[in-house]
Amino acid sequence: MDMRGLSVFISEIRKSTTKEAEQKRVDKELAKIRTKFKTSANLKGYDRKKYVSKLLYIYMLGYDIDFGHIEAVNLLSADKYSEKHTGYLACTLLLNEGHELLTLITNSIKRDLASRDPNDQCLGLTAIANIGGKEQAEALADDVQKLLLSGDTKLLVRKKAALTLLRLYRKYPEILPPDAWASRVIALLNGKDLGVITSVMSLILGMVEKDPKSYVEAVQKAIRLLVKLVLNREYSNNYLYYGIPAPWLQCKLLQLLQYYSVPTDEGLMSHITQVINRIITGAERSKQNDKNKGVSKTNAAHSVFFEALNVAIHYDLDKTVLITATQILGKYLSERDTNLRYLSLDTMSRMAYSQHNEVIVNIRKNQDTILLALKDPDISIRRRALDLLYSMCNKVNAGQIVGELLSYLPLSDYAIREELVLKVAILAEKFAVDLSWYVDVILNLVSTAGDYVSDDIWHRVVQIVTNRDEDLQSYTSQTVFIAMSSVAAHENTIKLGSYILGEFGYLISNKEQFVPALQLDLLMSKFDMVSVPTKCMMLSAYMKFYNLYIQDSFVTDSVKEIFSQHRTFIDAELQQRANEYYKMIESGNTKLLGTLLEAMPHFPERQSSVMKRIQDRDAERKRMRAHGGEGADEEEEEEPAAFIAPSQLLQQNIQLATQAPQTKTASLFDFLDDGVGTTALPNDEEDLGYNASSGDLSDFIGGGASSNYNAAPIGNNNIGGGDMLDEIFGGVPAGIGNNSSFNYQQDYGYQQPPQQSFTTNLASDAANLAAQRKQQMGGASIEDLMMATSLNEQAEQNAAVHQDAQNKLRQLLVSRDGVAIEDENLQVKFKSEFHGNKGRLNIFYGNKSNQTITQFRADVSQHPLLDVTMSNVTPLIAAKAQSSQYVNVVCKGAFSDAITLVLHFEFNRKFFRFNVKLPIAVHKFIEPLPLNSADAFFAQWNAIPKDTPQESVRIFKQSEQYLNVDNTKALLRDGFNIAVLENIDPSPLNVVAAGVFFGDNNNRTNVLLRIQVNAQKQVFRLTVRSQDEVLTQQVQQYVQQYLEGA
Amino acid sequence: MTVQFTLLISRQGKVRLSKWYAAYNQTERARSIREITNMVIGRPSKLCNFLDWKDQRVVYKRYASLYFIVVVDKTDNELITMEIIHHFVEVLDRFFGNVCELDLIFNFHKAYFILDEVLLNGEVQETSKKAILRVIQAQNTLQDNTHEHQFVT
Repeated sequence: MDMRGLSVFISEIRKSTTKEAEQKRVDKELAKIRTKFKTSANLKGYDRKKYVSKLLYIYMLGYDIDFGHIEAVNLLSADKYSEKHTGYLACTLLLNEGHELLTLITNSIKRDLASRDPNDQCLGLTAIANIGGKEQAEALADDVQKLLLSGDTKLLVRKKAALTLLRLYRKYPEILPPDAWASRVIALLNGKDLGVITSVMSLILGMVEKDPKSYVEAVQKAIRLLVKLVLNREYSNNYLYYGIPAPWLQCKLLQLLQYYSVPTDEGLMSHITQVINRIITGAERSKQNDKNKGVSKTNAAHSVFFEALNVAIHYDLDKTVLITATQILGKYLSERDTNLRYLSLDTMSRMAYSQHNEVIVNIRKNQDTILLALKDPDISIRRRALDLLYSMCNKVNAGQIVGELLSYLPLSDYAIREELVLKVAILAEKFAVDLSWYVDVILNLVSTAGDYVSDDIWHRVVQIVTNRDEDLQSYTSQTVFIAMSSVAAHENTIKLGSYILGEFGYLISNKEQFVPALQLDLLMSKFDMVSVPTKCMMLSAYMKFYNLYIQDSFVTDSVKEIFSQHRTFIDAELQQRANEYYKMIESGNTKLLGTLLEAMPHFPERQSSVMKRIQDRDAERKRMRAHGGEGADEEEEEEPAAFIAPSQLLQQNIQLATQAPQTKTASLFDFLDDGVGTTALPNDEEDLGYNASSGDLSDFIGGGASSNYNAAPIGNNNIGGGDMLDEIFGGVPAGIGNNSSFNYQQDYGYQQPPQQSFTTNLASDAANLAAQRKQQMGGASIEDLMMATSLNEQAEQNAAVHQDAQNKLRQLLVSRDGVAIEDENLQVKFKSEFHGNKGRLNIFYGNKSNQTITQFRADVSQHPLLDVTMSNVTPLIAAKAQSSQYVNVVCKGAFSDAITLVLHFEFNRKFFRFNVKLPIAVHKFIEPLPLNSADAFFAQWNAIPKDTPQESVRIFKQSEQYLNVDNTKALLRDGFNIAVLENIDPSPLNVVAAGVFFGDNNNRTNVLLRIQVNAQKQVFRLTVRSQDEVLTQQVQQYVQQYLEGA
Repeated sequence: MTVQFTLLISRQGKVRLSKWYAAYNQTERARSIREITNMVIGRPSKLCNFLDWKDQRVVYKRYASLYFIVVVDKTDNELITMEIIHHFVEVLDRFFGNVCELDLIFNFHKAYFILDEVLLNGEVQETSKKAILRVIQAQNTLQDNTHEHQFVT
């Protein structure tokens, strides 16, 4: 194999001291090889091999090779193994995937795969594994698959075949349809050779990544293998790597588990828990004992350790494992081994989302160490520390963490500054106790790292401030004014400032230091220094100023002056704005100006685009794997606290607005309903008609150059591209040219009914509202008629559903869970648990339709003897989604009537109301009373006198189902949770039972039952006795109801 | 556990070996090598062996005058990737007998071959040193028998 010529050439190249000398030598050699290839038709195999090797070396040095490929391809079919080998090496290095010569070599490869010599097979497989593409997948997948599955294949070849197949699968997944294939490939895990198993696991992992469902069977195999390796220590010593059995395989097995949810099989679950525990203790021990045995030992142990932790985090079940883990990781945080510190930070940041509070508390104990890690000399450590601080932040420590991050910001690396800014912005919004703090934080961000503050961050400030009260608006105006006054104010501060002062500057204009003239001065002083887009924003702000301070001639003159100056500005956008605004002013129509420039309406509440950005990023991140969305979902639930607060009405109305087809009017009404639109009301009360028809508008525009003017209040069309722009213009009360809606707006503004009714019953109020609208409109519109009919239809529909619900309730009263009510759109399910006098009902609302259910609300009726509390439920249930709620019930005494759950919601533009009886009856608070002897029973039985209200006796006909006494017993035992006492009544057909009822403060009342059967007449005689007459009555009624089968 | 590419870079920044498992064209390769070399060379030895690079993670380890660099997905296990490097180095060491940079320069084709035995398609192929060395030795004899026709093992 040794090629003297090659070695000589390499030495010569190495001798060249300068780049030029090297280049010269290379050029000379290339020329020589080229001639050799061209002229000598019968080049000896050895020479060809030598020259191709030289070419490879030259290629490796970084020179382009534009010939010789074909010689490499020719070597593939050489008889001599060494030549063939060089040919393959050259092809894999020189030919990229998709190279035109690949087609040529596919046939050679196919031949070698079919060879009986395993060496040839290996060469072929390696080649495909290196450069195979879709074309090879189609041509060769079958051959490779055969090699993998065939019993005759050598182990060495089989390993390669598995990995080669993975390459082809990644290029073209269709080659392996899972149906027939999955079980065969999983069966390969039963083999003995750990090398083959490792390769096959890589293949399976690759396929699971794309299609987890088809390979579920691999989970139990993986767990068995782990048990074998970790617990039973069964393996060949060849695979012991620094004392750890096959760490690569272990990691792969553990990674596989992270694609699937917790195993339902208890045996498997207990096995995997043991495995994880063993791995964790093993790694910790290796850290303590093997300090001097080299880094590979601890590395191998910890590679498995961290992967096992990933599984534990993924399952998030076993609290103790996670808590132990946080303690170990906490120790590692102050380790000298930087790798361990890095991985501990990384792992903790994923643990911080655990459902177990103790885990999170344990992580937070290390907060100081983690903050210190922000200043570590190693950038990798700093990044992970930042990630962890972000994920461990909550309401309590947000102030401190955000503060630390802000003070770290000026020192931070440029590489992570953008991410840092983004994270601070999100934390500040998410955990703001007070929104003025949030505004401060963002302004601080802009002034320290303005270049890294992307537009969506300050757009978000605008959104939040616009949707909030005047306090925040005036606070923000003040702070932004001060921030802008700094000589070095960043352009982003100026952008934000222009918008905020234009919108809300009037709120502070009565203060001496912020009078309109000063505000305008401030903006103007920055005007020359900023970029054109910012200038455009500033022009809009000036226009707003003009409208707001129309009495202030200083302001109006300056504004007009600046517009006129810019009517010939070189930038088209700026020029257009200047022209349009100038014309508007010139027209002198102040009413129209007032409308066009009225305050921006609220933005629809929605997910922060900033938040979305980081979610998108997170989604790609670390092993969320199977539950890829999990991280994102969590974030969504944690909608910024400050954002849920606004009366849900707003949110709901906006939903209404977006759902309703005739968006404009609908949203107008809804904004007004909340009184939100008050600032939007035109000032001029007399002139309701608003003759500002579109004709007037076009008069204005005629002067300018506009072709795409939008008849909406002038906001800042610089804010956000795309969707934000839509929302600014789309959801706006764009009423110009629509007289009727304006009239209506006026009417409504004065006749608005008191608002408190809203809070009581949203759905019916909404219906009332519709009726009111009808009256006010002085006649029914078609739409209202439609609504009325749909209400009637709905009543019929409801009747059917309610009937069905009755039957379901019967079932529920004698079981723990089940469906309570269901129609084609909504399903309500209960799961209940009772213990003593306490009970909890989990209620699941499933939206079966393809549309969102909105304005969802659930109320329960109050009850004198039951304390009922319920959790909040989200007002929206997305299509095909489920939301849930729980109701806690505490029983204070025997009761007779049921609690009703009232559901209101809007769906498909109709309002629905359902009454659902909660499946709670006295016997839910009964537990079995095991009385062992007849004496004990009769002592109790006789303590309650006959013929009193405490006793109830009924005779009624047996239903067919309960002709069998076992069914009766089962009903009492399982349905009513009452102990059936055997061997007390001499007749085997009769049943005796006893239970204990838990009332207020868990006071117990015994309740005793006796059911005698008259087999001839097929009747029951039911006797119930207890100290409490209501209890007696209720138990008797319910038991009878079921036994009668009525 | 997919390796995107593997690099062997000398302290002077010369590429001694490069193997690409994902599709990168020539320009991307050159750029990646440049960026990563800049990040890795000159990093103090006390710092950790992992670096964020684009959406991927660089895992590297220095042995004498050579940096062994492996670029993996962010979801991969960093420590086990580091041990792949170590495993590869150990195999090289056994094969060449106290391997040095020169061995890898003059026998670059062998180094490539050994790498293929350790890592195929970016996945670890064989973790038993014994098994790998057996294969490599067999190949080596096979190649030295230049005059002999192929034989079936």
